[in-house]
Amino acid sequence: MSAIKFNEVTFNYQNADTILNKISFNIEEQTTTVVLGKNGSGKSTLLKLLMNFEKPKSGVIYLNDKPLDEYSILERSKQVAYVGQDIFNQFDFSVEDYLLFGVTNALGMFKSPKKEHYEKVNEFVTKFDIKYLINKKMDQISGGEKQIAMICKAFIQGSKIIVLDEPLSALDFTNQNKILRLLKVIKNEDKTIVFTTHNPNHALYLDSNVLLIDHNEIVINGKARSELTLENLSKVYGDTIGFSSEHSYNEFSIKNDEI
Amino acid sequence: MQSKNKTIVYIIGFTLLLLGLFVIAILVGRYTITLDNFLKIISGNNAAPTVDRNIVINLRIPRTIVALLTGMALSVSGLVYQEIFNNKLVSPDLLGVSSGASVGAALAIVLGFTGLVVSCFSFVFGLITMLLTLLISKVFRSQSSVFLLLAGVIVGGFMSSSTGLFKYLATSDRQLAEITFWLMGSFSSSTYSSVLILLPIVLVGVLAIFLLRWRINVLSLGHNEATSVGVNYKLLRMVIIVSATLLTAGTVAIAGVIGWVGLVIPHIARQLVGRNAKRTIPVTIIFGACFMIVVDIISRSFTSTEIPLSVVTGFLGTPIFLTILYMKRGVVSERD
Repeated sequence: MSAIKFNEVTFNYQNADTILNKISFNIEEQTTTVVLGKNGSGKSTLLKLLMNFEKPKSGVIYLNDKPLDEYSILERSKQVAYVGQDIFNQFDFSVEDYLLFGVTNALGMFKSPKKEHYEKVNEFVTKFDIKYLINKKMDQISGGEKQIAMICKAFIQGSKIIVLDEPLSALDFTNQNKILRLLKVIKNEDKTIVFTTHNPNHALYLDSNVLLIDHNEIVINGKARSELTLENLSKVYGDTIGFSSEHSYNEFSIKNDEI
Repeated sequence: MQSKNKTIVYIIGFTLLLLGLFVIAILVGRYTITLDNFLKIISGNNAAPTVDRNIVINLRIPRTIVALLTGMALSVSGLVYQEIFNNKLVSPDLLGVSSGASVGAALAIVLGFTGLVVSCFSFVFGLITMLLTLLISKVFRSQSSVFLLLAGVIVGGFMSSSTGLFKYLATSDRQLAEITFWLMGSFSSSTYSSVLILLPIVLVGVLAIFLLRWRINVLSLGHNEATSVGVNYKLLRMVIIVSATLLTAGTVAIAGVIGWVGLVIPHIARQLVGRNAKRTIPVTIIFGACFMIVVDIISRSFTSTEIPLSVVTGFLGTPIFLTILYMKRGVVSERD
């Protein structure tokens, strides 16, 4: 059973050119998939379709082998959690209150979080090592801290699939590394992770699967470390890319803890 | 958990304050009632002078109840608008509701109606205006709430012009004065019929908002994130908008347009208990009622003719708002 399946999905925004043209792919359970592509290639659109924020013009998207639009909003939230982009301008809820939004799908319409939900939040706060944040306001913490809080909320939500929209793009070098390491740790839990990024190195670092979108189609679909070859990437990014080992200087990269 | 205790303290404190203010509002005014006489009237003892009894039973009690309900309704609808649009500078008039309700009232006055007919016109026009705003926002076919706000500005502008037109068409100075006075808010014509009309509207609207108080927070995440945590964003937002509109249109219909309350009271509530609708909603409801009773006392006690409510709320509200804005100057950013 695949967690996510796109079957000949076509999409375009109103009065605009086709963005995705009959794309099909499978994502298996408990895998990490990195969606790559140039700006405007349709990476984010793919995630929006997956989250049902936009609906395909044709084709079907399956979640656990059941068509996505047959899920109710509530049911869907139990299957997929979403980590969006920074929306926390003027968002002066405390981090704890924000994390509690993750338990919404476990609460009745007129109910508020109870002691057990605070305990659940507390458990994940400890796990993500952000206890020092919980009384701070969401709009006063750093970009990296916000990203960790958002991922933490997705875990509190308890969904098996976690979708992240460019979790690394707005972060500085240190924070990128921090989040990448976090994603690597998460990879070993029973979660299915899908996220978009500009940087092919992220997929290599995580040893994940990769979907590369170019010209409205998926041009690479497979294991990052075998499929992301210089030859393949040149087709998309042009012949201006190469290996940093060919530089006359050493390029910095995230530390790799593998042997 | 600590802020929870703080909230309970504020709620108890403000409730006691509200009870106190309610009694004071009945005692003070251009004609003072002694506490002794008040107690006699309330306990059904016939020894109190008839004038006092009349003033307490037929004027001040219904009037103070209307003030209390109006304060609750305007404050809480301001708060929920600010929460669901994640913008602290919006007021209950956001979607043009009070402008629309004003048009209804002005039209009724120009047509020669008085009393409750004016209220009915006003209420119906307030609701029609909201529907118009929603319809126009649909034309834009966008998820973004910016278009809803823009539609509100467009419809509100149109309605203000319409009110201007009716003022121009007013045939007598009396009509013109009535429209003008009405546009600035007054409780002077409040009776038990006003209470009977306003009470069910406020009960339904406030109860709906009160029950959904925690969930309202989630709407501030915006459509995508709120949907992803399992909230039916559009439906919930619509329920809140309809409740807030009922509350606003209801109060405008009974007491005219009262500015500032819906903007300032929610700010104060947030200052006291922090931003979380679960806590701010009960505090706002009770504090809004207190504030409005004080405003009413000021408007009717110091001069021989009553000061319009918006004048009082403006004089109280602007310095408060200025102070809050000054304290928050560091965090107000371009995106708002």
